[in-house]
Amino acid sequence: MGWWRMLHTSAMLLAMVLSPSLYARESRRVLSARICLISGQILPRFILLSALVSIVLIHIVVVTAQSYGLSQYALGMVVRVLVVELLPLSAALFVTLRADMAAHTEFAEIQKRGGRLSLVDVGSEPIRLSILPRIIANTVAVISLTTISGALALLIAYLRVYGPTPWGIESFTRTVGQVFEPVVILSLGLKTLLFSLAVATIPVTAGLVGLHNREHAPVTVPQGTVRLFIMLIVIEVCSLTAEFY
Amino acid sequence: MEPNTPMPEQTAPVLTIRYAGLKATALLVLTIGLIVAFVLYVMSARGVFEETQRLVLLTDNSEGISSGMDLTFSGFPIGRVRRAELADDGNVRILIDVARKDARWLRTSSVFTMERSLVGDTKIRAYSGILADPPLPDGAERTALRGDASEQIPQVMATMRDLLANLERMSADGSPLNTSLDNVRSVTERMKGRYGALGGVLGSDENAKKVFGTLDRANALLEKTDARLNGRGGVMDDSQAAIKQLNDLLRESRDSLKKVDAVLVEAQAIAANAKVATTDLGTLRTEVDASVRKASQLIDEINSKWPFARDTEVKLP
Repeated sequence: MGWWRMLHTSAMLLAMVLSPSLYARESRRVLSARICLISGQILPRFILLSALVSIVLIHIVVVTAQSYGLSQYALGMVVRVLVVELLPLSAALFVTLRADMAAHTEFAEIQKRGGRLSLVDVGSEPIRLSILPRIIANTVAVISLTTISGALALLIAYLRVYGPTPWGIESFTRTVGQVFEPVVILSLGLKTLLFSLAVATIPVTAGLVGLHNREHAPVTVPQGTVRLFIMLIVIEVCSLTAEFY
Repeated sequence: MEPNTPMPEQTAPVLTIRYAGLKATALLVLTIGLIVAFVLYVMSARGVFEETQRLVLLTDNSEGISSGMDLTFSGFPIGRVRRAELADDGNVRILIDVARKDARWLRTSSVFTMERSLVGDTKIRAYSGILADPPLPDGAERTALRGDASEQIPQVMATMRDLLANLERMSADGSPLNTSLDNVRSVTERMKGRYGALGGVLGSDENAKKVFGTLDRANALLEKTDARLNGRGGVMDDSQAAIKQLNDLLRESRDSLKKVDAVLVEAQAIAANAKVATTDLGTLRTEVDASVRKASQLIDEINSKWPFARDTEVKLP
């Protein structure tokens, strides 16, 4: 499976996601169930994990900055590193593990039943009721996880630096305003969106190609995982380049 | 079976989750709400909704200046840099938005500084010495004073180089410091001799020996002097006899003075008696005056009673 084919298939899947027929009453029910299933499984664990990691990282950064007499830069550094860089990537990787394994299982079942899917047949039931809802649910999961964990990290950072008092809000707000320049906000939004689309489409694309080429099936899915990781790294590097150069 | 043909039996299992639609909507609403709230918060934090006035700082270097950095007054941020631009004269114009509510701290006499430390950002600070001055108008242009710690590094390096050159010159062979140290060493070596520090200070043991000889002679001289002064028949004995004679003389003088005192006491008594006698004479005169006055009155009375006698003259005794 070449990169071009993967990108082409992903683009077709995304185009199908925009199809209004997907949001008809019956499909919407399936879509809601899929969103609940994926987000319900991942969200609590990820929020708990990200909160713990945030507490530890914030503590390390704040204490280290204080020991060097640079505590005024600690909060800005925490927000920049944690909210802008680490949490979106962590959310994407967390959903990747879940989406990749689920895609494996699902396509293995379809393969066992001897089925073959084609993107040409947009209205086919497996694509409409299984694959497209999965893509949307994974996209929503990545964006939700990033947003909620980011908000939680900001709250933890405030409480760690200023304590449970409202007197630090003005200073905190000013620091957040300095970190989130327009370029950084744009970069964060685009990065999260591209992460979510990559995580949602690349495992499904690899699975679909595997159904077409049964002899390559054991290879295509791991290849899809590798490509997904490469794509995530490329997006992250592009984002860092846009932010710092 | 042909490829690309969907299988009729490939129906995906329909998931059944209670209130799935509601939960999915809640998640979407929460996510979108957080995103919108965050964007509005950041816009507010960057002062998009804040009423501001413009301040332009002029400087010759924009190093370290970035959009969004603070202008502080007494440590409190009161404004933020909007952008920096190059003016026609080659200077840098830093456009700063100052919040209206904080603009009262800026006066026409305010001074603005740009300080750049070795670690950390450049800091723009405002100082208002006289708060009674008129407030700074909107769009005011002021020159910022620059203080750059890193600019002093070349100067420090040059000073360090001079210092190291001096050190090198001082520690070179034949340098004054080395010569002095050699001299100190020769002095200390001499101090290790028989006569110790005295030998070191005087240059040789012979000189020290002469000093000791001089000291011995001085001691002998002192002994002789002592014997001449304090010995039997010495200067001290003569002095004591003279003092004794002087004491006797003084005693005799004291006795003579006592006799003079007694004579004076007697003279004083005589003077007192004379004073009393003088007082008695006054009393006697007063009595005589009174008797004469009475006799005169008596004669006047007889004359008035004795019509024959016309001679009114009274003969006083």
